[in-house]
Amino acid sequence: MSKKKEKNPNLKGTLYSVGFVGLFILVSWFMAFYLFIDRF
Amino acid sequence: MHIHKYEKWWLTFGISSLVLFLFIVGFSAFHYGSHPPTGKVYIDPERVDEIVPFNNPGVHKVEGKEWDYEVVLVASAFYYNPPEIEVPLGSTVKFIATTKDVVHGFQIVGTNINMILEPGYVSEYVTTVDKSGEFLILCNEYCGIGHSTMTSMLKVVE
Repeated sequence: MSKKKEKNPNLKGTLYSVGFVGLFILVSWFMAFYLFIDRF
Repeated sequence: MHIHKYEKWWLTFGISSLVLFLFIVGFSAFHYGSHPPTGKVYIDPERVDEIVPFNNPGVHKVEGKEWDYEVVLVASAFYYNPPEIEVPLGSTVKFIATTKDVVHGFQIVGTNINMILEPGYVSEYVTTVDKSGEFLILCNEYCGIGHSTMTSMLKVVE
């Protein structure tokens, strides 16, 4: 175990990749919801 | 507890999407009253042909209700009665359906109408038909040897 204080890791790539996943979920949810609203 | 800045962003994004989804679903459920087809009405599956309204299947115009037409439908192996449904464009229609023998499905392709018909239960769905054309009705619960031929047609005419 190191006694040095841990530096903040760089998580930019992680943020972008989960951002894409989140955006994909949001967009597909609204597409399915639009289909539901549009149909009788 | 230390949480990374980006993790906080992600948590905010995730939780607010969840709240948004639940709000939209809750709003349509409680404000617009959208719900699955009801199965609250019980009838004797052996006497379907004698029980109102199933003693007279077909498309009926009604007055003084929230809907303009009632489509009374009886499913049995392997056909629907009436075999064809015709309603005018823009009318509000209530589908009232049950089955005489085994479990059948009632799906109108390309619409939100998709009900399971169980012996002894009445399934209902109210909708306003706002698109004209012919819509295939089919059974989507495996009901026996003739399952694949069990179809009908909804015609929305101008």
